[in-house]
Amino acid sequence: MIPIRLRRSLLLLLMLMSVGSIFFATANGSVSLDWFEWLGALKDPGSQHGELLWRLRLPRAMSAWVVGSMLAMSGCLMQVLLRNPLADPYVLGVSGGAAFATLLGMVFGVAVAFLPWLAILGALISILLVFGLARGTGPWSGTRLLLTGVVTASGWAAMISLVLSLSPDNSLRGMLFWLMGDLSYANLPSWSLAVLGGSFILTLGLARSLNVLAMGETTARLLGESTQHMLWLVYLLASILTAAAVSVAGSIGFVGLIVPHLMRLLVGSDHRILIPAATLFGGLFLVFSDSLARTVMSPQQLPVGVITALLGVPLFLLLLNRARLKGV
Amino acid sequence: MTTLACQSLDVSIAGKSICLKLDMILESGQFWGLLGPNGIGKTTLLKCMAGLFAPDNGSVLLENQAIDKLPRRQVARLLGMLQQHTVYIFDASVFETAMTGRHPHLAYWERESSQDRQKVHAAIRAVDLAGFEERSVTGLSGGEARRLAFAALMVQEPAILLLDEPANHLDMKHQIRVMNLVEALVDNQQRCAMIAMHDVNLASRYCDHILMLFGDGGWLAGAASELLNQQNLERLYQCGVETVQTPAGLRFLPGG
Repeated sequence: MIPIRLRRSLLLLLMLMSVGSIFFATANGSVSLDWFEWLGALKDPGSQHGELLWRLRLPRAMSAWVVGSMLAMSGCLMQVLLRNPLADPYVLGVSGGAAFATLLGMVFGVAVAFLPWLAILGALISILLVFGLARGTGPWSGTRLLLTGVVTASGWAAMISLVLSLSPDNSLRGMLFWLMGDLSYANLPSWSLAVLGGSFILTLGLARSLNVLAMGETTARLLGESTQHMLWLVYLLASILTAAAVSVAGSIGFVGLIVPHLMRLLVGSDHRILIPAATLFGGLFLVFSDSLARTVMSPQQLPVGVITALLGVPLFLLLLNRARLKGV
Repeated sequence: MTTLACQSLDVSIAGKSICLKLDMILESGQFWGLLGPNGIGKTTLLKCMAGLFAPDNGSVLLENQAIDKLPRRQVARLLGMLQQHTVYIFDASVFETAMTGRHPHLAYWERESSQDRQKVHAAIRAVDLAGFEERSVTGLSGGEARRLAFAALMVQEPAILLLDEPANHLDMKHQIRVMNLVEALVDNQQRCAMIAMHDVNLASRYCDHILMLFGDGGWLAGAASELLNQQNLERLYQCGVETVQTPAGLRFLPGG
C-alpha cells in the first residue's frame, strides 16, 4: 500500500492517465496522427481525419473506458458482496445470460444494432432468476447467493456451448469474438455513461458502508447497517453494471477481477479511495488493452479479452509478489 | 441512564433451551459476568441481547424499546458487542479498522473528523497497539486482532458493552489490561458491561453482578458476592470446587 497522503495524488494521476489513454487510443491505428493532426481532427469532424477520429476511434475508446470502469466497479462490489477476493463480475451468471441471448440473436440473424438490447434482456433475466431463487424466504445468505449464481452461470455456459456447437461455421468466429470481448461495434457511450455515472455516485455514497460490510454481516449489523437491504442493493448495483458492460462489449475477462485487486494492493481497502481508483484504472486499462488489440497484429484484430489477460496476469502476479516480499 | 432489559426471555438454539423466563436489567455502572460451561449458549444469549438473534418468547428492551423494532443504526450508537472471533479477509490497516467504530455516528457522506482520529489513536494506545497503525490487519496475531477489535469497540463508545470472551488469545498482561479498560469504562464513564468468560477468578475480581446459565434453561442472576460460592459453582461446572481465602478476596480452584 502507498502512504495515505499519496493516495489522493494517485487519483489525480489516474485521471491524467485516463485522458492520456484516450489520446493514445485515438491517435494510433492504421493511420497514426501526431499531436497537431489530432487536434485538427478534433476541431474539424468533417475532415478525413475528423471522420476517423469522431466516427471510429473516439466512440471505441470512450466505450472501452466506460466498459472497463463498469467492470472494475462491479468487481469491487461483488468482492464485498460475497466477501470473497476471488469474486468477479461474471461469477453470478449475469454475463452468461447476456451471452446466451446475444448468441441466439446471432444465430437467427438479428441486426447487429439490436444485439446490445438482447444482451441486456438476457442479463436482466439472469439477474431476476438468481435474485428470485436466492432470496427465498429466510435471511440473507451469501453462500446461497453464491451457489445459486455459480450454478446458474454453469447452466448458461452449457447453453452457450450448445448454441456454438449447433451454429454454422461462418458465424462461429463472430460469436467467439463476442464471447472474448469485442469493442468494434461500440458507439459513443450515452446511456452506459449515465449508468456508470449514477452507479458511481451511489456507490461512493455507500463507500463507508461497504468498508463495514467487508468485515462480515454480523460486524456490519453491530455497526449499524441494515445488512439485508444493503446487500441486495449491492447485488443489484453490481449486476446492472455488469449487464451494461457486457451489452456494449461482450464478456471481457480479467478486468473485473484484477483491477480491484491491483488497486487494493496500492491504496488498501477503504472504498472511498478504492472505488474511484478502480473505476479510473479499469477504464484506462481497457482503453490501452483495446488499442493494443487493434494495433499489435494490424490489420488483424485480436479479442481484447486476450490482451487484458496477457497484460493483467503478469502485472498482477508481479505486484502480488512484491507486496508479499514487503510483508504486507 | 441507558438500560438493557430482558423480559421473561426464552432463548433456545437447535431445540436446546438456553434460558427460560430470564428477567434481568443491565444498568449504567454495572459490571456483569456471564458464566456457564462450554456450549451452553453464552454467545447466543449475547447475540440475542444485541438484537442479532430472535428469542422464542419475551423481549429485549433497549432504553425501554424493543430492540428488534429499533433501527440498527440507533442500536449501534447505544450498544456494542465484541464477537468471539474476528476474521479479516480484506487488507485494511489497523487504524482504518479501529476507525470503523465511528461508522454508526457518521452520516452517509460524512468524513471522520480530527476528533474521531484522536479517539482512534487513544484507543489504539489503550490496547497497546501503538506503532501498529499502518500494519495490515491480515498479518496480526490472534491476540493482536483481539485487542484491535476491542479498540474498535472503544471507539464506538456504546453505553452498553457486550463482550464475548474478550480474554481469548490474550496473555496475562493483556487480559488484565483489557479488564482494567472495561472496569474504567464502567466506573468512570458510567457505562455497563456484560462479559462472557470462563475464568471465575477474573469474574470475582472485576464483576459486581453475575449471570449463570445452567444448561436446562435454569439461570441465576444477581450480585456477585451472593452468587459466587462453592455450591453454585459446583452446580454450574459439574465438578468439585475449592475456595481459598486470599488477601484480595475469595478465589476458586478446581477440586476433586
